[in-house]
This record gives sequence, structure tokens and C-alpha cells, in this order.
Amino acid sequence: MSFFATIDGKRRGLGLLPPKAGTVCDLPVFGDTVETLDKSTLKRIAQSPTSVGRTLFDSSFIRNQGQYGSCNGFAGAAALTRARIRRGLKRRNLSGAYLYSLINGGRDNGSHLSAGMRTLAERGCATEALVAWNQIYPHKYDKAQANRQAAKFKAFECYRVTNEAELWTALALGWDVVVAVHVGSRFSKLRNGVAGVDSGRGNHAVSCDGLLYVNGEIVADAYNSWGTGWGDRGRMLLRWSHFRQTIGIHSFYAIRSTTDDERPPAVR
Amino acid sequence: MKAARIAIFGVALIVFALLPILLSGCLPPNPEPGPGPDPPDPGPTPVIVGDWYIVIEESADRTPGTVEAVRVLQTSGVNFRVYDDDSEDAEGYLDAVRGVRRPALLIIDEEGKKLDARPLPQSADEMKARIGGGA
Repeated sequence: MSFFATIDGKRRGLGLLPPKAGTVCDLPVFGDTVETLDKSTLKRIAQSPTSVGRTLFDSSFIRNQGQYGSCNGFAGAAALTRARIRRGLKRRNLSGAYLYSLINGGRDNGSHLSAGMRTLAERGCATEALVAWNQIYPHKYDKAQANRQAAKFKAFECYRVTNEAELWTALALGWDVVVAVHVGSRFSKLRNGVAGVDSGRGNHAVSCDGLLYVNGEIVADAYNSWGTGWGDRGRMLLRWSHFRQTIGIHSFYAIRSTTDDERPPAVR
Repeated sequence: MKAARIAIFGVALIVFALLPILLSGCLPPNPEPGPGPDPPDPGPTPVIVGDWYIVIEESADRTPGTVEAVRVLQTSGVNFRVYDDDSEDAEGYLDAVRGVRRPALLIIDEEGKKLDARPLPQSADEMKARIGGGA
């Protein structure tokens, strides 16, 4: 696992690992299930204020993973937090540390995107009220209580996103997408809100919750887990060039829906 | 001679009597009835104010219009839920939207009484009109 020092001098973990050689992800592909939108439709949606994630999710949603390599846990937990709100469920701040604790193998050595995706769907995610940001191992929290609670907050089916059209379509249709980016010396230098592009296979997980149209191109409205002091109050815009080099390596995923922990009254 | 005159007169009478029938195939059809009075204006779609707004969709078929309509619910402070129609959680609401084209919008009161079930509007403006500008 590597680290990255932000402009304020704080050390942040970069905990995204590439899949092991020979690993095949058998989860359904977004484009096999959902018809992708054409470019003109995507452009129209990206120019509409309803597609902007930050209008729904303000800076109070931005989290901080600190020095741990828990980016993948934070990205997945934050995406599920948002996916629940999009469905009308009450806000529950789901714990990135909890999700990371289930997929890090007992060591702070990073994790794979696909492991986060499976865990959100199969086991769910506990809240920050039970598992704080730095409790990245199960022995640090009440495991039985957290697991019980997590079972109430699950993703309902996730889809792998494998190309540009799928990524933009998923975001245009209001799905939250967890992605891999590569963080080097340029990433934190935002220009017009757009993060710099570094070359690499992808060492950091973040999430996207909307689309914008900036400087003649569609970009993802995205958020980091390095606190509100980083970037544009914790956010950044990401271009396709951020993903071109990582999407073929990591299993980007879109959260289709979530399970309910509370329901409207039954129909009489 | 007199008999011949009578016969000719009889034939002429018959032909004259049958003339409208013989010519009817060549006549233009009866003209359409006039427009008549305008039907009464149905007025705007009635606003249904409920306690819960439940969208039943097949998310794989989601359209940009659905996203716009749901965004109205997300930003208007009403109680709402979006269900995939193949999720277990949606089962209790499927009967209430049986026969309604997907995505469907079900409106119920706080006790679960069904107030309305129709296709979900496909724009923000139509959605605001349906739920009363944000209820």
C-alpha cells in the first residue's frame, strides 16, 4: 500500500489493489442489462442541473479515511449511503471503516473494488455510529452488533461498469458508481474543479454521483474521502481520461438499488 | 296505339321512381356531421396529495424522464420510496399497481389507503403538477 501527502501535508492512504492475476469477476455487466444512452442524450442530461450530484449531497456527506488504506471501504459505504437516500430512505451514514474491515484480510494493506461490491450486496454495511472511521479491524468494534445492523443496509444488486458509455449512462440514470483512479503528483491540482490526470493502473477508489458538462466534455461529479479540506470541499470532477487506463483493470460498479430497513404503510 | 302510349308512360313512371336509387351509387356520401359544440374541457390533471409516493419501476428500463420525476420527490420533502418491481421489498405494493404501465406512481395515505395509481410522469413539470408542486 502506498501513501499520498495532500497539499495540507496530511498523509492519506491509497488502498486500492488490482485484482489478482486470473481473477474473473462474474457479476453482471451494466450494458448487458441496461441500454446505454446515446451521446446527445448524455450531453443534454449532463447540462441539466438535475444530474449534478452535489446538489443532492452537500459537503456534510464528505468523509475522511485518514492515513488508512480504506478508500475502497469509504467509497462503497458512501455510495450506498447515497443510493439509499435516492430511494427515499432516511440518511444513515454508513461506515467505510466497517466495510474495509470485512475485506482487508486483517491487515491495513488495501483491498479490491470487487470485494467491496460483493460485501455491500451480501453482508451490508454498519453505520458510523457503531464503527468509527479508524476502526478498521473487527476486534475494534462490537462485531455482533455491527453485523446485525449491517444486514439492514444492503445494496440490491450491483453491476460491473466496463466502458465509457456504461459509466456515463449509469450516472445519468441516477446510479452511484464506485471507480478507480490513479493518484500521483497531478491528481490534487484541480483546474475548474477537474482533477489532474496521472498515469497508472489505479491506486485509489472514489465514487461518482452525477454528471456535468465542462469545457465541451462530459465529466463525472465525484467525491473523495480525504475530508472537505481537499479539492473542491472534498469533491472533484473526473474526465474519461481518468478512467480510460483503470477501467480495464478494476471492476467499477454501479449500485442498482438498496434494501429497505423501513417501509411505507402496507396498502389496504 | 293508346295501349302503347300507356305502356311508355308506365315505363317512364317506373324509371322516374327508380332514378334516385339508380343514381345513389354516384352521389357523394352524406357529409360528415358538423363539429358541433366543443366537448367540455377536462381541466388540469387532478392533484393527488397523499402521505406516501411510491414509484414501482424496472430499474433496468429507467429513462431520463423517470430520473427527472424522481428528483422532484427527492427535493420536495415528501415521503417517498422507489422500488424495483422484482425486489422482495416491493411485493406489498404490486397488487395496487397491477395493470399500470411501468414505471408506476402509487399514492397512498398514512394508513395505506390507495389514493391513486397511474404511470409515473416523465418530466419534472408533469410530476410537480401531479403531486401539487411538491406537496
